[in-house]
Amino acid sequence: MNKPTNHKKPTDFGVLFKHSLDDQLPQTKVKRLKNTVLVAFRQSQIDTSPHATEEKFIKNRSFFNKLILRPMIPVIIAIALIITGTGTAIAADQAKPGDALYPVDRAIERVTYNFAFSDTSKANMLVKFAAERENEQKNLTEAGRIADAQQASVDTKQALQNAAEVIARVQEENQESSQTRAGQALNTVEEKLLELQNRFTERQREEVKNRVKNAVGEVEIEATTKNGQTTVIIKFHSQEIRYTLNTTDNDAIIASVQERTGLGTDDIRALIRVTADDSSTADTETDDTPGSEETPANINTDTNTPNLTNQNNNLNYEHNYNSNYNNGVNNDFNYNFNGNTSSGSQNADQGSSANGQDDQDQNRNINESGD
Amino acid sequence: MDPEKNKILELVAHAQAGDEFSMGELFERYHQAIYRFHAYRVGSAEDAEDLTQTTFLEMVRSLPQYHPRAGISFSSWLFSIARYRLIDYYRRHANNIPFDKVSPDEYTRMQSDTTNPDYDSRIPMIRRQMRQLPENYQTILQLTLLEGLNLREAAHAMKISSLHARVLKHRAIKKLKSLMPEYSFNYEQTDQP
Repeated sequence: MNKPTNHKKPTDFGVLFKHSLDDQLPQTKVKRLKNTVLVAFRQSQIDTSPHATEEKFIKNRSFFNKLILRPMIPVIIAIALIITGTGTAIAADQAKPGDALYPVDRAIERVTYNFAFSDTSKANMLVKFAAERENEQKNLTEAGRIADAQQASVDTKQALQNAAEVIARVQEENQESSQTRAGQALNTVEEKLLELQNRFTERQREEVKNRVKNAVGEVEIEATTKNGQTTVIIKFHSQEIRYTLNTTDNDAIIASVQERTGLGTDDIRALIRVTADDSSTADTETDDTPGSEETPANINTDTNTPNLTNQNNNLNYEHNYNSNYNNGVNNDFNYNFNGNTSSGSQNADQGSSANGQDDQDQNRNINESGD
Repeated sequence: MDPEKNKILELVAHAQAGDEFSMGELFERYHQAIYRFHAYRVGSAEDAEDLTQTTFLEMVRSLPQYHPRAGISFSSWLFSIARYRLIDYYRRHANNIPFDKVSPDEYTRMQSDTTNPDYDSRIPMIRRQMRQLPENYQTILQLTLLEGLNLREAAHAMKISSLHARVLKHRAIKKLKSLMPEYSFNYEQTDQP
């Protein structure tokens, strides 16, 4: 066996190793590198003491931060979760009926309501919710989502009712315990509620008005209560119907309007604008008071008016419309008006009989209570 | 004490005081060793150059914190910096550098070395197989066999105990030999270029 001569002993491993590591940095590169290092060195000499201490401080602080942050990691995760959760809640807050997040919105409201501390804040919250419902209704109507808007309308009504109930209950409780401060706070809440209710009815009115306008044309109904009597003015197209009732009961007024127009009760309720003439009602509760003399002569509406055909008829109206009234009526709409006076009085009779019944009932009740 | 070591300690002290010439001298003394240390490990000459530069910049930055210790050379401190730069580099290029491969320019350089009277066919093999060793095996072999640091200094550079360094070195050599069984370090082995 030939002994290889060019091989070194195992002890020469280090030598072999060394030969495998003969990389050299080229001289040009060495010069450039040295230059860079020396420039850095000079730079480090220029910014010495004050900056050095500052740097040291920063270094220490970063170490401190690391130390602080490590146990904070779960806390940070928790905060992140809360933020994302809150994000969903905020997103849900904007949800409207028909939206995916709407149930979340309502659930959050319920939870917040249950966390409310005092009764006043609960009432306040309910008013806030009602305002939200009302706003949703407005947005949906504007967006043209009719079905959802109707749902929102129902919800708003319910929310307003809830708020009113709670406020009434809390008011009672406050009166019992004579908590004036709580009462004051509640009053502001109640004011808010009233404002909201007004806005809601106003919007309802607008909506119904538009609907009726689309179906038959523009209808305006005004009712003025005075001295226990109500003057109702119905304006339709360019015609006007004016009549007076011997009652201030809303249902009776609405029934009478329905009699004449055939509109739905709810629509009338929304459309009708009832104003109370306080100046005369204040001093004239009965016919005997001198204030009754101030009542305008054109309202000959008393039960003993001779020109009435029926003694029970406590209803008078004037037909200011002309003959083309009927012709202007849209066929789609079942309008109850009749052009001639006789049938009109018939209608009036029917309407008044019902109203008379109501009045009789009322009188009976008064008598019973008087006994 | 070794005059060379004294000279280096003097240079370090001057450099710490802000003497630019001393700093340049230190660079002259160590740049080849640091470059070698990196070039051997990363394969690419440009990367080795970059690593050398960052090592020296880091040295400039942390020179004020250096305290000479008896029996420990300045180079072991410098190599510890170099090693951290290298580990940093590994971390950044973990996905795109095949460490067990020898780059083409490196290979041609090895081939041209055949004219060298000291040429041994095992030399490129050693270099290739070294890349497959764990990082600390490579470092201990380089520091002790190539740069001539004693075990204590190498241990200091690697922040391990002297005993650990000795064991590490032994294991590294054993592992390297086992990686190239056909190139046994025995007389009987025939040469096959």
